[in-house]
Amino acid sequence: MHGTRVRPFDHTGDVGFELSAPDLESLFGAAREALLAELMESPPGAAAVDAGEQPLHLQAQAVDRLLLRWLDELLYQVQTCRSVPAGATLHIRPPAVGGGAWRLEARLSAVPLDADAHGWRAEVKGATYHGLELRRTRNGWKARVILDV
Amino acid sequence: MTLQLGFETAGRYRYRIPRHGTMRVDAVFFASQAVLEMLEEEAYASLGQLVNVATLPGIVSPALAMPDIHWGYGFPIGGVAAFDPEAGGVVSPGGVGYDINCGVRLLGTALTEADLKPRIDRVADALFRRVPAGMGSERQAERLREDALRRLLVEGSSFMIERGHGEPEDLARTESGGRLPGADPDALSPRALERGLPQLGSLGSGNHFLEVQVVDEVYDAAAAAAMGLSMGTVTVLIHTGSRGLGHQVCSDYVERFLDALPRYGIDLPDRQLAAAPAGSAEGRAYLGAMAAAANFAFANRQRITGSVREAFEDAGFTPRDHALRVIYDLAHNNAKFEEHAGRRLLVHRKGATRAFPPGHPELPDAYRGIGQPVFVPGDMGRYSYVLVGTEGAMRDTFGSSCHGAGRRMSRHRARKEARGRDLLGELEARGVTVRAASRGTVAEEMPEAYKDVADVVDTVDAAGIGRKVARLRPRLVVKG
Repeated sequence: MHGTRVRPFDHTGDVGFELSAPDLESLFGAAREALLAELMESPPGAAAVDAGEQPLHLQAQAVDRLLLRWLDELLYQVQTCRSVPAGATLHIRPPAVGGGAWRLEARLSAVPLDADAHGWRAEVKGATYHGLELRRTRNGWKARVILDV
Repeated sequence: MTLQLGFETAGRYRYRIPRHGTMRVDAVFFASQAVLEMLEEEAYASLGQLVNVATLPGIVSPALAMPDIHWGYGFPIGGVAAFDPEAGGVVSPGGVGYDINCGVRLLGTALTEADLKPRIDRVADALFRRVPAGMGSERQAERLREDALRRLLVEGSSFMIERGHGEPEDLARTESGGRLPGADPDALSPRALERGLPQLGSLGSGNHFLEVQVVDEVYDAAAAAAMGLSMGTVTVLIHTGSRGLGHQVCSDYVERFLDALPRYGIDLPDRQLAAAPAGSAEGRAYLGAMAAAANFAFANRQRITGSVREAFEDAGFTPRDHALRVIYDLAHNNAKFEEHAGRRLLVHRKGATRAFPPGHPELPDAYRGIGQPVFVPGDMGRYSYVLVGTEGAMRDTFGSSCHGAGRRMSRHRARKEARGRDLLGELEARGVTVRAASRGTVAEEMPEAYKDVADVVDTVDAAGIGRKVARLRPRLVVKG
């Protein structure tokens, strides 16, 4: 996606990355790619998918909490279900006027995990709230996430 | 003497950050010159985390960090914090961490290095085959039924011993007898249970390992003898925790606690420190879930102990030859109620170990005279240490000591520095045989990625919060 960037940053014990994108859907998509790049050396691309799509619905009271739920859900898909979300189409909706939750609706296209072919690196235990940032900028959105490895 | 950034010397290898701002208590950390330099290199991020811990409600002075302190999430790694439930003290899932009750178990053997050397490849292959390691490592063939898992979450290590994976005497040589009380399987989400079902008896990845070692230095002959350690004998060190089950408990309860913060008027400098009063409904639920996850971790290391015995037998050693036995098992990520100076406190240790002194009633008879064994893994190329707990630790650190070397290099940097190198060949040249599920893990975990654990242990010894007993050299490492 044009204008979408992922930059890993050094963290002594764990790993972290900074993301920027013109819209939230692109940012969450970039977070998916950054997570897969931490988990494996050669994550499969969407072209590798030959099965159907799987719907996913998440919600949270704040948009940054929605980002963490998204990452935790992806970790569950990969590490427990052994299903790599190689592609995703996303739609993110803000709370309705007067309150409510941020909502994410996604369709995940998955590939069975092949630890050898995908160059498995290491498990990630969870996405953390430590130093978590997600904010609107002049050009779109920026985020910063630290993962516990 | 006041040093830069608001910390001052408070004794030998001991520094204090006086209470200021929203801190409720002072913070104290232990450091050598090398550790101070490392803290500066990471822009004092871990000291900032320690200051954040000192703001939590009901904390008892001081907030502490051991010399293996480094930047974590929420608490610093190496952090110790005690809370008084009678004074509004909290429990913090982020203060315990994702890998609930992660810990180390040291096994002794009757073997010498000379016995091991001719069969080391057979032992390596057998361990790698018998102990699932790496991504989402599982034992699908032994997958538990959910009712059995629920029993295990209450019973801990004894569940595995009843099924032939250990000896009854192993329990006395496991912290808390291998079972935290108050475990509540109903406090776990279905997803946490799902993640635990296939993973019992697996190592995982990251910094978890299984290592066969040789005793190459003895500093305290009497304490070493009490543990059955002497020069040249072979030991096995197991480092793992509660796997995906514990990770899920942490994720679930950080979310739940964040929602509850306004109810308790808790204002946090870092949301990963999400906390609730220990006696609140949320606090009690987390403590029940955490105890269940802790019991999974104890049972996990107990099951792996059984696999280690099987692996040595696969390699041609009879049970009489190897005589594998548990020296001790201790955790470094949990929160436990303990008596300190007449008060019942909830002590959080995040990358720190319990280190009770001689005579403490929770120690088994074999160690009552020497103090609680403390194991401090280094890196896969150098050495690990055996220590014992001291009166100094009981007095100054709520009976706590260090848990490892602490990283000095980020995982990204380690990967870059490993490019083009034959790390397995380099380790082989140092006399270390490696079996690893992933090259990436070996790169991230290479020896240079860690501080020299000798510096950490010498600091602990000199500060009086642990005493050196023996040093262990790795000869064989299994990594995820």
